[in-house]
Amino acid sequence: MSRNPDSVRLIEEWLSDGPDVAPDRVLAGFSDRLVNSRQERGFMRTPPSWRTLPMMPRIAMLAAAAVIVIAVVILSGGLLGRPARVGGPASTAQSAMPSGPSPSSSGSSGDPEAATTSGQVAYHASVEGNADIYLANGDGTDVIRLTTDPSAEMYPSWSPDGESIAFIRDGDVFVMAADGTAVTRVTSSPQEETAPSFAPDGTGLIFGRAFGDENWAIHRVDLDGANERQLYQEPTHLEAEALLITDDQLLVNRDLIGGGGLEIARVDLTTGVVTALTDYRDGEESHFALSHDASRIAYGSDGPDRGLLIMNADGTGNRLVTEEYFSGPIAWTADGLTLSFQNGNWISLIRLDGTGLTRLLEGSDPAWRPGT
Amino acid sequence: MEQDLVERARAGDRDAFTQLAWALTDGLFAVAHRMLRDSGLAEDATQQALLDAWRKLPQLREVGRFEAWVHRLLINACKDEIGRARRRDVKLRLLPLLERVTPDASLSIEQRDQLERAFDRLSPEHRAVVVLRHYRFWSLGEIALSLGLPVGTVASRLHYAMQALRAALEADTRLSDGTAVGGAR
Repeated sequence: MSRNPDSVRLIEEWLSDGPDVAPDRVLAGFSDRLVNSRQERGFMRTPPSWRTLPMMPRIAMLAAAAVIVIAVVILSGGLLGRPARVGGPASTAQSAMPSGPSPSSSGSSGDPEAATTSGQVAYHASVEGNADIYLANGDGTDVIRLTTDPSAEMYPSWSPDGESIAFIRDGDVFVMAADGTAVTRVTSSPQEETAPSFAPDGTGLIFGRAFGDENWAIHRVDLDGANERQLYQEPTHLEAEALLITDDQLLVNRDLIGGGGLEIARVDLTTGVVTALTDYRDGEESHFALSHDASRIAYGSDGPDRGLLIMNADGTGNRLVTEEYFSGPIAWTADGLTLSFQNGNWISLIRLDGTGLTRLLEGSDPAWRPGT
Repeated sequence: MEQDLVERARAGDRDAFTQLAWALTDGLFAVAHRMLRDSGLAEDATQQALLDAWRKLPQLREVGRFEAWVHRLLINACKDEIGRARRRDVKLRLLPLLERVTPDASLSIEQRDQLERAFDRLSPEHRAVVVLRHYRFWSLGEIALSLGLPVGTVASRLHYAMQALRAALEADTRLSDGTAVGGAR
């Protein structure tokens, strides 16, 4: 047998073999189960009662629906060949200037009790393909663009005193004043760096640096770029996102099985002891945020309680805040009474008891200014 | 137009949801079939994903992300199917997919067999990224968004999974060439 170096093509060829059309019984079975699920959507206004219809009208309805869908698909540019992607990252890059809609004007929530918070939030947004750091009030008003460099700036993180912002520009760590002035380079390595955050005493930064194939190591550096050292790495997989609880206690997101095993762990940098705070066998956890008093951790989970959860800093007391968390960075607001998280192209707010979910801003990576 | 259907379905319009289901079912089933390698399980997972979508649709705020969201529900349904099968200690039958083997396929039967075995050893999470990337041709960002994972995690899983599948192909090549696995290339 001849060798074929194009293994990716062969794998794609292998994957392409197989049915592209679902048997009719899939939709028919679903329709039956849908009828049986009526009680679960008590507000339904138009129950067509498939089971109560004679067979011919059912077929007619299915045929009519098929015609409508096909027409829609054709008119919308062809969904059948490859379903149109909706809400992907590209739409973020093409998004309009972030305007900071207020919760009441965003149209995302009709909840009169929508969560609100004071303070200021730094975040990054892409306008015409250029990612920059912005600052806005806690109600989404008074948006200020802090970076104007043509490079891509993202991952803002506040100093403990709320006077400086660390961020990433083209894969290196920088720091600037809260008004966007005094931009200072901190790192200049050829490896990609990401997700900077300040040490609790504000004297240094930690960040993730690319390590091997699609892996990250956590480093620490003084604000002037001196004394850089690696704090932690995992040979299997470590996420770049890490936080220092104290000078010698590090929160990390690791995967010891190299896929499907993300969990949050606390690393004692003095003893090297690593304590898992969550168990990936109960569902993977990714993205986390430490409360300002370091007593609680908010995180995303794909376990039985899928969504945004809170636990005590020792891993106990887990409780679900909302199932409506989809993915993306999480942040505690400055007052500690609400959480913000990125859902798609939007930064949303929600109270700790799970009420008041509302959209705040179009953007990514929210970071709330301490003391505001 | 699709967003209008999603809005209506979210508000409880079952007809609107039925139209969405019609548009999505083939694609969902195809993905589930690639993940599970079993028609019956794929049918169950597809139905469950659609049912979950109907139940949970009122919670979906971003109607523009409906398709990505449904795929996440499908992947979760597939994981559940795999978990149930393993709890029953039933090894998922590796389907030879005889119903549609490309006539001028470049893959040999031995290579297909190696890929099936290697794929069977992958975790559901690894299978998901392989199928979404190399069957649906989604970007890493789109996969990350759909599965609710950091892009780095998606990239890492894809790297690991493709490495395993490539190794299976290379092992088959070495065996076919009469070279011992792990020996000189």
